[in-house]
Amino acid sequence: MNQFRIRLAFIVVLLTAGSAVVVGRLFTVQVLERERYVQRSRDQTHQRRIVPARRGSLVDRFGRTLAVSMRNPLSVEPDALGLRGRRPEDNAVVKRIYPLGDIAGTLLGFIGTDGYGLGGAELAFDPYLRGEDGWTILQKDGRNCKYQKIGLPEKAQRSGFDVVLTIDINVQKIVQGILRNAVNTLRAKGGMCVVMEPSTGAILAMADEPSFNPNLPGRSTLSQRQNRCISTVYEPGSTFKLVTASIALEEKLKNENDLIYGDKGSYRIYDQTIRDHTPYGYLTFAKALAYSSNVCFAKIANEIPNDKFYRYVRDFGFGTRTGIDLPGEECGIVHPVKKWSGRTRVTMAIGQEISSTLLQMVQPYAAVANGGVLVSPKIIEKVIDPRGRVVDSGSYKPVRRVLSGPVAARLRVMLQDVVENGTGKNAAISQVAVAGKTGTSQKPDSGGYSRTRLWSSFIGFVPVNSPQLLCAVVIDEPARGEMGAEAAAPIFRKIITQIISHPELEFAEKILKSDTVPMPRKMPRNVQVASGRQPHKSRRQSPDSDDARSILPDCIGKDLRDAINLVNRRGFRPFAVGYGTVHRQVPPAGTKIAPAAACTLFCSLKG
Amino acid sequence: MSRGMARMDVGLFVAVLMILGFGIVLVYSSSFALAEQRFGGSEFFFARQMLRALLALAGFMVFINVDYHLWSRMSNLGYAVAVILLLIVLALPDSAAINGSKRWLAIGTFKFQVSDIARMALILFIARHAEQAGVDIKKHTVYLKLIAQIVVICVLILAEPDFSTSSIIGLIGITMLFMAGARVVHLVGLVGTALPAALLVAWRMPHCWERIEKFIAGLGNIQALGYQAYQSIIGLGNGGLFGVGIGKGEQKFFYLPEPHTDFVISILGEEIGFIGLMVVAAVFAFIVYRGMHIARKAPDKTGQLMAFGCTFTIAIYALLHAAVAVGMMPTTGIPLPLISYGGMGLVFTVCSMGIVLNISSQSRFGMVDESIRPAQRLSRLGS
Repeated sequence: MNQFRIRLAFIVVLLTAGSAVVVGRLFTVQVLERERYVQRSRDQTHQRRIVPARRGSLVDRFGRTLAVSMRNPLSVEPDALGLRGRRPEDNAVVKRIYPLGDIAGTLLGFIGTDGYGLGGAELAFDPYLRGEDGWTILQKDGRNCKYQKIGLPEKAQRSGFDVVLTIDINVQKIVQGILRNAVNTLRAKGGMCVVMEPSTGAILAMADEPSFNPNLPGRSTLSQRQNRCISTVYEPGSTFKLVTASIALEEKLKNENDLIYGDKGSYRIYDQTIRDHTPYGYLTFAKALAYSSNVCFAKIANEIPNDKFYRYVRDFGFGTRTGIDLPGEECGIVHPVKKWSGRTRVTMAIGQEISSTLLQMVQPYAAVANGGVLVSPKIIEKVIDPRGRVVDSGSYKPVRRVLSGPVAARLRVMLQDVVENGTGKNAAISQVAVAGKTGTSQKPDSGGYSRTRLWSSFIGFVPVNSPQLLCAVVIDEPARGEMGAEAAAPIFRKIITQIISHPELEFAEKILKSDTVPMPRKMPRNVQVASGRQPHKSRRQSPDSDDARSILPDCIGKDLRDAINLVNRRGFRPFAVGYGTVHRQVPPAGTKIAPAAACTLFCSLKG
Repeated sequence: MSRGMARMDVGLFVAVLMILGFGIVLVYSSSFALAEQRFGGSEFFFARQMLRALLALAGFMVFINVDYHLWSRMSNLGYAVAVILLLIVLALPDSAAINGSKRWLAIGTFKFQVSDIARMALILFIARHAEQAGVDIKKHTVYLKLIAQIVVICVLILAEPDFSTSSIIGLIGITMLFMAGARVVHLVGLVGTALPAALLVAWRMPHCWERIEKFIAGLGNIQALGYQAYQSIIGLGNGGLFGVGIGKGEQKFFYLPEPHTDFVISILGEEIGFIGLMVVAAVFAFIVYRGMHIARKAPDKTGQLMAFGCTFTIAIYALLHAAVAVGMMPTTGIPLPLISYGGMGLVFTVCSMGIVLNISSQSRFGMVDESIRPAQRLSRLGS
């Protein structure tokens, strides 16, 4: 037995020694070298993960969603290993959703896979929308599955701000729908349209076609994603005559009824022949605008000094960006005076040799509409933080006064005449007085201007006396209806009509109510006399109408130009036959005739 | 109270129950993630371990109360059964292999490793035959006959293939022969031939050799130890002195493969720290100490060798399990006795402790020796 005890002791000693070695090693690992292994454990089990900030929404002026980030949780195993403060990794994918689809697509832009805005409002307001990312530490298991573990340090994300745009979804839908329809019907290459509140510069709608669906940015081309209203530069053509006309009025070079000779539709100046679509004889200044006579406007421009012309053009915002808070804006081309050739001023007067964006072209019309102040277009209404406080707000930004109030008023009447009697008849709306101007410009072609590739445009506003809505339409290369009046004006009419008649929009009340105020009453006398249905109608209703005005004046022996002015002032429509001195008039002087009736003047040269 | 229960070593009995209870908690903590992943329910392993623990307790009671001489008399039969079972398992179709080796047999839902049975059978067998041989064990004929009987078992297990279990069983067998009084010269000669043979076998088994190579490489750089041992050490280190708390360890979340069996000590070390581990080690040491003490006081040589064999098995398994976990041994599947999940191994171990306790109740001095506590003495007087 003694031997057993000795051998047992030997075995126990061996086991003890072995245990001591193992315990020593355990002590080394668990106590002495602990930090190293804790670090390794952390390295393999912890993963720092960015918690992306919730991107703010883009909403319209009434808070209706234009773009919103939605969490789209992927399938998460219900409570797999959701034990002991572990919940499965938040695999939710945040998706940017544009509920309107391709409506206002180019305006809104889109975001990239990294969550940065890559175009349109998404890019412009990215600093507001973006917010601030947070981070969290994820617990990772050996299968590389990640969990959020409670109690680990983290930094909460800060949600981005919501940006309220001046857009009205209903207006935008109307505009986009009509524009799309029109582009399809006209088999045009594209189209663009801006609807603005002229008093504040707030953009109510900004649409172009073809648009793209920002939900699927990858399916569109770069050019489709451009906001053409601010990035496409075109020659404004006849719509630019408003600028020329306003210079002439503001500089007191012309009055509405001053006669300008139309040269029978062809006028040669500085080695260039300016042509009219239809040959005109004498036209009043107002009619020259109404009929969009290139010759007359060339002659008007010829009376304006170069530097003055240039200054006005620049004052109206041409050649500089409008400053709208959207990316990709072009500034158009206005050559400085020193680069002008002799004919530049003349061609510029009719909207050639100058190029602008549609939004730039809207500015002079807005200025005329709001009484002469150039207002920079506004797309941002306000910025609100996640708690609903207003962080920033887009304000009414008057840039400068370019026209005096009375001149703007006179221009409005002239523009009204364009719609009622001139080239803009297709834009007329029965319930409301429309002011506007058509434009057709040929696209530059190799070595000249193309005959078939056109820009067809119409810019106008309603109602004339206190404009609430300004709408500019440009159709790019319409296949049918070559003249702007034929392509763009009806689109304008449709848009305005639908906006007015839309039940949710309050424009009907504003516009129709303001229209009942007889507008010419506020106007200077010489404007009142300008021909046009509206003033006469209102005068007829007034009981104190001047009888003398309905008696034809004696024009015999007068110079034709004076005679026409005289007849015009009395409210009749003069027609001239020949030129020189009036030797006969039909009907004869002293005849009482209905207002706006025609009076034919027969002229012959003296001697 | 039965005679066996009344006179047994209560301290050992309590220690075994403590480890058993603690082991169940630990199996749950270390296995729920794996159970969730593999079987869709975190209690999968835990429930089975509970069932086995109950079975083990029942067996414990039986073995405590059955005279160990019965097992001694049945040891020839046991040896024969073990050999037959080992042959059956080898005869199984290859499709029954798990990880390339055929070690398991199933009776109903209960799976057991044949080597567990063989180990038990061998301990009982050697105990009986060593007693029968008496001092004749020093004769080389008797000695070689016993060696041959051990080698048969070892070779059959090696053929499964299961190198580590075969080696450990061989070690247990040799140690028992040593305790039985075999000549040291014989033993040295045996070790002198067995060791090169084992190395040769290990070298011939590529999987095995690879682990040994990794182990050698890992002596300088623990990352070269191989994934499992590396993760095991990270877990232990992460636990530190006080541990991260039961259930809060990270390593069982699929960093450490087989967290509930071969690396359970690593989970333990991570969750209850070095101090907790030392407490568990102390309980194990106590079990081994009492077991060795019982062996010393056993009434006959069979009892001595049986108690020693059973206790030494626990000691060597626990030691090697820990050594693997700290990277001091090539990575191999050695469970921690009484704790690790793994077939019927738990039942066999607890039953072997039952035998030891039965021996303790029959010891020459009983427990009435210098170490007994007054309360126990009083209760004993009353019975």
